[in-house]
Amino acid sequence: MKKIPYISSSILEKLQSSIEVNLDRYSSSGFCDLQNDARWQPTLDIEYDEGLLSQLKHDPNKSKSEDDRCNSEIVGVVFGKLTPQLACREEIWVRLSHIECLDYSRERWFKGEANEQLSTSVNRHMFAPGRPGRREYHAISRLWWTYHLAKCVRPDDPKSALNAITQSADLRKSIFDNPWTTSRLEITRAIVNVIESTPDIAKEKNWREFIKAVNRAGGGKVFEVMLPEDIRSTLDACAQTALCG
Amino acid sequence: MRISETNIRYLHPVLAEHSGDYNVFDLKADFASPLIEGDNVVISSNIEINSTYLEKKIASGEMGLGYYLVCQDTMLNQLFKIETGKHVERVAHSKLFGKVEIRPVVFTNTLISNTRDRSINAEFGDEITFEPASLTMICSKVQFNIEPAKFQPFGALFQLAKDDSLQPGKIEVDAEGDKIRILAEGVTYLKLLDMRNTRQTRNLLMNAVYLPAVMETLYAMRSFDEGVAQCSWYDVVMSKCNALDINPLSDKETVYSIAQSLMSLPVERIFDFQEEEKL
Repeated sequence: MKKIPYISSSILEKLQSSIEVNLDRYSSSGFCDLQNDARWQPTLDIEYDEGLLSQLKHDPNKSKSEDDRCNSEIVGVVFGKLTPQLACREEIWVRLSHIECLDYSRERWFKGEANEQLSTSVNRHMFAPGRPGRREYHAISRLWWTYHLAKCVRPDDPKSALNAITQSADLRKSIFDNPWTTSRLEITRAIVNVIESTPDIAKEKNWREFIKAVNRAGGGKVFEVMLPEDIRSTLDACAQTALCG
Repeated sequence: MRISETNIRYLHPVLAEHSGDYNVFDLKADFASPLIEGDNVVISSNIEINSTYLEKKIASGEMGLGYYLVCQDTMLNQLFKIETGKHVERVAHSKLFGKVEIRPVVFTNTLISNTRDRSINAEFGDEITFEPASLTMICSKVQFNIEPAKFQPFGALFQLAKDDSLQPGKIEVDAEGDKIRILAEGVTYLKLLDMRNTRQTRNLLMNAVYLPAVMETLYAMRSFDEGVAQCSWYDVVMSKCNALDINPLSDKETVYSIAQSLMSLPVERIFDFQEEEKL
């Protein structure tokens, strides 16, 4: 088992300001030769399974949701010992996407691209400044945060929760776009239960109406002191409203 | 469920600034700046709800007092149930990053149906009903910023190591690797380890051995050697200097002075220990 690596802040700044200069590295040659620089070598005192990480692959034959779901599970399990605080650190994700996970990142996000298009994709998917960068765009970080949410919702069976929240890119995005909902685990748990029991709710129009109904019904409600069955019946009613609308 | 800064209107009375649902708004919710204690962030609060009606309901258990602690960066959104008055909560530092918002609330634990209390606005009629799990008091948000733990704390950059080529009692510093090694021959090394691990002698060691090692490190940085700048400790030291508004490469300050700042005035810790011994 290896220890989770990260890069120094000076290397992070250098990479961010050198995207154009490094386009060839992003498209083919990679960054492995730079690992001799000690600023690429620091590690956390947390191990990860490099064997399992080698299974991280982009499969163009799968739908993007399915591909992301499989890879979220791999990244989430491999880096399962990262704390939420550490997972907010760009230095970790940039190191991983540039070395250990470069092949996957390239295949998933910018294979075959060149020049300005490549530069734009690299800037978006190989760096993770701020919350949107980490949650939505960075090639590896977004996979980790998806699995992290699934694990928070169902610690004993994150895979099933992951299946529910990644049914489509839209559904995943809208869950993450509602932080006042999704970070309240009692609500998200019930939402995942509804998705599983009422699959039609995941369809675009139904889903939007469902989230609106949840926001309306939940206004001023302290879900944290409600019984799980009461939360569930509230959300079931929202689902019925959405389906009948 | 989105709690915003604008006026909130519910079907039941909610004690909140500017809501007008109660005839008087008199609420004290103080939060001290969070402290980092080991692995935890300590949040100290003091909440006084000067509403006899709500105080009675909280005392009877029909309502509860708490606060939402929200850190959007780490996806933490948790309701802490507390008592009125002073309260201390500990949250794992590893669960927080950046902006943290705290919102005190009072909520119902059960269905409450009463004659309207005199403190409640008459517009609510003669009978008041609170559904279970409803907000009945919302206070203004308090915000903090939580700094993450350092990847490499300054002290962790330094490593005691053996070098039997050295004369007993002599110390050397090697700043060419990932860590800054403080070298001593075998017996000296063991004695230094012992001193480091013993409370009574640790602060003496910091001054006699580590302080000069930090000075040697600063000298190495001032050599402007490219190899030194590429060592992984370099950025950490530079970052710590930046945080203290020190330029370690400028000779406006001596390395002795800078080293003492980086080590937070280690001589003082000898005095602290002496004071403890006297007690």
